Parts: sequence; C-alpha cells; structure tokens
Amino acid sequence: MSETAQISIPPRLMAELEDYVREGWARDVNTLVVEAVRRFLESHHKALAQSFIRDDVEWGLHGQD
Amino acid sequence: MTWSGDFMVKTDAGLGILVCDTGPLLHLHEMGCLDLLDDADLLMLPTAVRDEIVFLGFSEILRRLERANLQIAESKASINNRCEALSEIFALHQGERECLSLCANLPNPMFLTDDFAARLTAIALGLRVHGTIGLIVRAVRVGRRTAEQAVTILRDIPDKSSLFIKRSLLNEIIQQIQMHSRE
Repeated sequence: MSETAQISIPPRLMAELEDYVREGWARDVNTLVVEAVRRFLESHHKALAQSFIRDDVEWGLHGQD
Repeated sequence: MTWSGDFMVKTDAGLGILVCDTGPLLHLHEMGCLDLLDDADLLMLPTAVRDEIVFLGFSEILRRLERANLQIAESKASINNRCEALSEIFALHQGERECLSLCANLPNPMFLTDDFAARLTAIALGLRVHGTIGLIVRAVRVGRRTAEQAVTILRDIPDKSSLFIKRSLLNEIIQQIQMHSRE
C-alpha cells in the first residue's frame, strides 16, 4: 500500500529521469524518485546526523586543532 | 597571539588547510561568524563551491574570505577516482564532489561540511571532517567567542540560519557549553 504525494521536479532533472527510463535503467520515473528518497533517508539517518553533531561538539570543546 | 576585535585570539591551534563546502559558508555568514574561518592556515574552495556562492548572490562572502587566506582550486587539477566512485554512490552534488577530490590531493586537510552524505563519504576516505556547529563550539575553546556569545549564536540558529537542527539537540549542545564554561 503506497501513499500518493504530489511533487514538483525542475525540468532539467525531470529530463534526466526520463532519459534513465527511456534507456531502460528503470521501470518509470516514480520508481526512480522512490529510490532517490530511500537513498536520501539512508544517508541522512537521524541517528547518524545526531552522532555527527555530537562528534562536532566533542571536537569543539576538547579537540586539539 | 594576535589581537582581533574584543578577543585575544590564539593562533597556535590552527585548523591547518581547510576545504569548505557551500553549506557552512552560508550558515556562518547568516550567523555573522565567517571570522571563525580565519583560523585556517589556508582556506580552499573548489570552483563549483565558488560558483554556487556567486550564483546564490553571496559574493560578499568571497570578498570577506580573501582575508582568510582564501584560495580557489581549479577542480580539473584534483580528479580522484575513489572520490568519484564514492560520490556517485552517495549521490553528492558537484561542490561536495570537488571538495572531496581536493581534500584527497592535499596533506591532512580538514573538510568542513554540513551535508551528512558528504560527511559519510569523507569519513570513508579517512578525512578530518567537521561542520558549522563544531566550528562554533570550537570558537569558545580557542577564545574567538565567549561561551555566552556562542550560546546566543546557537539559540539564534532556527531564526537566523538555514541550518536545520533538532531543537532538543540544540538545547543539549547549549547546556554542554554552559557546563563546560563553569568547569
């Protein structure tokens, strides 16, 4: 079961996505957008973000450089 | 030691060679903290970052940074296959890619970014990497800001900056600075 969301994509980005689909790298633009969002969420994991910022605070307070 | 405004600035614990992404430049500018980059022995921006800053209408940032040993690096001179491969995997923007390629060609640089994917890539490449928050907290340690001033800057982030950070985490950082300053 999927939710439906309406998004605006800049024309140049849309053209690139359509190229991928046309060349057979993906089934459709929808699949590509979902994959892009999944990758974003993987690399921008909230726990990871907090961990980076805590590392920064530790460096800021106690670092040597 | 050199005198800068109201603060005695220690110059014996510099940042070394600093490569900076677009995000921290904008965030530090919004917070009135671009002077924190003055601790870099050499501040390097790849052309894509310089172009992005100009495109966004913040050329005054570049003019200010000229006082901080700013050097613009031509990205053509710093292509690195491993960086490129990781950048593809993490779908990094051009500016971030060029920063990482540049870092890979420098002796022990520090990379400043607020993008988590870029930071992950930098860690995978074994680079020293920090963000805007780290630089603000560091400013207290090196005497560029008092703890009170740093707390004010951090408190203003949600209203004055395009840097997004969870409120509870921001409060936690503020408490840490306050506790540290009482020690």
